[in-house]
Amino acid sequence: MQVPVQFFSYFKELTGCPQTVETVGHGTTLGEMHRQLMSRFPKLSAMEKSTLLAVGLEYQPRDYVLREGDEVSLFPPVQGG
Amino acid sequence: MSCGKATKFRCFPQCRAAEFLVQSLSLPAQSLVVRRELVITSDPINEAALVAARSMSSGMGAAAYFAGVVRATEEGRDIRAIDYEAFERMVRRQFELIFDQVEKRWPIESIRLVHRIGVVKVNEPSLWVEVIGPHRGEAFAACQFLIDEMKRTVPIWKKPVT
Repeated sequence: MQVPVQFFSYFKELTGCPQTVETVGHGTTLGEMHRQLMSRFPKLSAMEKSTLLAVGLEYQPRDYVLREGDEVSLFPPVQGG
Repeated sequence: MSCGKATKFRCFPQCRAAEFLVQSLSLPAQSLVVRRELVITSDPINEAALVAARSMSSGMGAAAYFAGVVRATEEGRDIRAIDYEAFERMVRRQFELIFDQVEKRWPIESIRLVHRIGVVKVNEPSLWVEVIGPHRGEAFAACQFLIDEMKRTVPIWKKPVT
C-alpha cells in the first residue's frame, strides 16, 4: 500500500522534501510507519518524541492502523498565535 | 503552501432569530446558534474594521478580544518579522473542533478569529480573537481556552525573519 506523506515546518529541511510516498504493508500502524520514515530520513529521529502525526485533518494515535487512501502528515509542535 | 485569500465561513445571520426562539422556549443558553467566523489570511489584520463590524444582541454584556502581536525578539535574537506557515485545511478543521468545545462549555453568542499566515512584521498583529458572551467571566475564559487550545493543536508554525 502506498501512503502519501507530507512534512511541515522544519521537517521539510530535515527530510529535504515537502512530501513523499511511503510503501507499507497492510495492517501497518502509524507508529510503525513513523519508524520506517525515521530509517529513511534519519534526521527525523532527533524529533521522535515530539513529532505530531495526523491522518487527513485529524491527529491520530500511534496505534492507528493505516488504510488505503489515508494521507499522513508529520510535523513538529505547533506555534500559532 | 498556498496562502490564498481571506475566506470566511459558517457565519450565521440567523443567530438573533435563533436567540429569540431560545428565549421564547426557555431553552438553556447552550442551545444558541453561535456565530462563528474564521479567517486565515496573508493580508494585514485591520483591528479597527473588525471592532466596527461587531454585532451583539441585547442579552450580551461582554466582548473580550485579544490581539497577538509579533515581538522584536525571538528566543533572545532580534528579528524583523515572523513567517507563519500553516497546514491550512487542517487549521480550519482543528479550529472548528476548538469552537465546538467552546460552545459546549460557555454560553457565548459569537466567536471571531483571524490568523495571519506568511510574513508578519514586528508590531503587527498575527492573531485577533473576539468572544462575545453574557458576562466577562465566560467571555475571558472562553477566549483564554481558545488561544491555549490553538497553541496546542492548530498546525501553524513560525519562522523568525532576521
